[in-house]
Amino acid sequence: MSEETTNNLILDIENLVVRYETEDGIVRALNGIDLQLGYRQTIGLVGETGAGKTTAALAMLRLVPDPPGVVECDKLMIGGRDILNLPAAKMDEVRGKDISMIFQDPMSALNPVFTVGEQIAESLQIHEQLDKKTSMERAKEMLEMVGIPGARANEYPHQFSGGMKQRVVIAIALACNPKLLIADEPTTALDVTIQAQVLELMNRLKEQYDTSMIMITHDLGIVAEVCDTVAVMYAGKIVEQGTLEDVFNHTLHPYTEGLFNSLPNIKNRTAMLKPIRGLMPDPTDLPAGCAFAPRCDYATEECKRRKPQLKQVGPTHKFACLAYEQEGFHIKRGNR
Amino acid sequence: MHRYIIKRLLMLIPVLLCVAFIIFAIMDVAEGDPVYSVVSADATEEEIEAQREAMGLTGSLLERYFRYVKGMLQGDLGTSYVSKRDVMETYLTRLPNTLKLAAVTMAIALGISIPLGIVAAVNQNSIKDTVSMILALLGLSMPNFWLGLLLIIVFSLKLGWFPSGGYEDGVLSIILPAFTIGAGLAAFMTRSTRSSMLDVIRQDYLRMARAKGVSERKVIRKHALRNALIPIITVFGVQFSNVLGGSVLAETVFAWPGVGRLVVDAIDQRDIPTVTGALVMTTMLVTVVNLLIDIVYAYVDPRIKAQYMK
Repeated sequence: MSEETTNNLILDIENLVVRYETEDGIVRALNGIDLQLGYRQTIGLVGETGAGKTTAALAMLRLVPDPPGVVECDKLMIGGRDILNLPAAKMDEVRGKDISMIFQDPMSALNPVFTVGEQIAESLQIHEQLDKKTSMERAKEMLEMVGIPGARANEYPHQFSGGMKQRVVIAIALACNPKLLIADEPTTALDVTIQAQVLELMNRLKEQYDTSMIMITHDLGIVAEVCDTVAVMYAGKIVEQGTLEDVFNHTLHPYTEGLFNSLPNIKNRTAMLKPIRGLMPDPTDLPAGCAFAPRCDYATEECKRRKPQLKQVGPTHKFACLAYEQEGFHIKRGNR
Repeated sequence: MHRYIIKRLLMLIPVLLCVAFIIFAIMDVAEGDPVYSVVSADATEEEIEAQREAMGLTGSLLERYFRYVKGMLQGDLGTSYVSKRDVMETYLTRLPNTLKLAAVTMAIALGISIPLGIVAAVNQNSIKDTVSMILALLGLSMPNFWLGLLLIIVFSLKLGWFPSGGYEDGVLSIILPAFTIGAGLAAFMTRSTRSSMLDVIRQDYLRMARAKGVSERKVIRKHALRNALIPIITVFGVQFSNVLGGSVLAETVFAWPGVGRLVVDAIDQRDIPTVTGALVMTTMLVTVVNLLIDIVYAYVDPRIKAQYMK
């Protein structure tokens, strides 16, 4: 990739590999992913639990716990800056300022012994060198912005409901106006009624702040609502990637098809859900060939032997599946 | 919060009355007739009776108890059978020594255990962790008096840095006894600090703090430690209470005139008013320390404070 295109990317990752070296064996969480994201773009990272989505996010923040985590990467750039080899003190300046993260469970993401105001203000004190008083004022403004009265800044996390806590977490993540926001299943722990509110809030703030975003989720509905592009992950690899149009309407990968099939059908309420059979392979013992082959209805002998590589099929559409090497192969879902 | 403190202070009164009764009853059961330890061997029946009257030993257990409580509420704990001195006065001359020793002991224990426990937890399963845990095991299993004797041999006899006993040399004379008691406490507290920190260290909110750009040092010292403090404070409170009761072995080895030796000597001499008085006073101190610990909880953890407010 040339210098020019690199500079237009907020995020540029090449060949990211993360493994956890535990006593029970080596857990291969991420097995070489490439990810590029333009400014003001939102990409969805989709996949089942254990696909490596959260590990990917932690690796971008360089927060993979070490030991046991080992991170290898050819390139890790945020906003044109190489952060792969930044010393710890410099990395602290990047986190929260250039790249920021919303965690899955708001119940446990807030520190129970500090007020929510203090927790928002802390970012501002670190990155904008504000004093206590000014940063608390700003913290109150941030609270107002996510729809919580500023006067509640002096309350503790246990005094807030789950949805409110997630709003606070969003306020913390956005306090210093980060260029890239990673949202790790931000609505999974919330009631369905609250989910829509929080998504709407995030969409609004993302526009307002010109923030690029990585939305990690297993919910294709959320992807459709907030993302521009989507990357489907399976067993630590990206198996299909493209625009919403590419992936939703011109699905190519059997795993992506399985994800769509397992969604409830609103038009036919009596229809049974069609789950993907079997389970994600054990990351300490991945199959020799395609990791999805044991669960795949289309798998050939070749699939069990050889690992598929990502192939470009359109200007924006990529996928990794060996079944297409057979003449005239297509998945049942087809174009929609 | 004020209401909670007042409520707790009022609860102190029945607690003290009960404790006084238990001590009083035990002393009554355990003892023969204390009169014979005072009167001469050839005393007549009348002399003994008169002496019994003078010592306040007439009447039933309850009668004597109420007489004692009446005195106690006015700050009168009776007179020692042996020294004939006022018990309260004797206790109060010993108390400052015990308080000083307790304070230095706890400071040493905290100063060693918190950093050591944090280092062990942060570097779990590493060589630092192992060394810390071996030190803790050593501290836990080493008998107090033996450590005391070792310290005397090395630091007073060989090196001559500290006096081997007594309390005349001010701060210098506290160091060795305080370290002797503190080593065991530090060992225990290191282990509780470590396990408490390990519970906290994997919490999401620490990852959140790191993701905000908080430095690792601050993540541990500010975000993690504050959450790990409650169990540490609990252990601290229990140990502080124990030290306030006096540490007989260390006080004996170092000839330290504290409360512990006062009580033990009094038991030896069947000096019931001194034993009862000292125990009642110690109980009071311990309950006050417990109250203080509970108040500290509220300031460390807002969730506990919210419970108190109910």
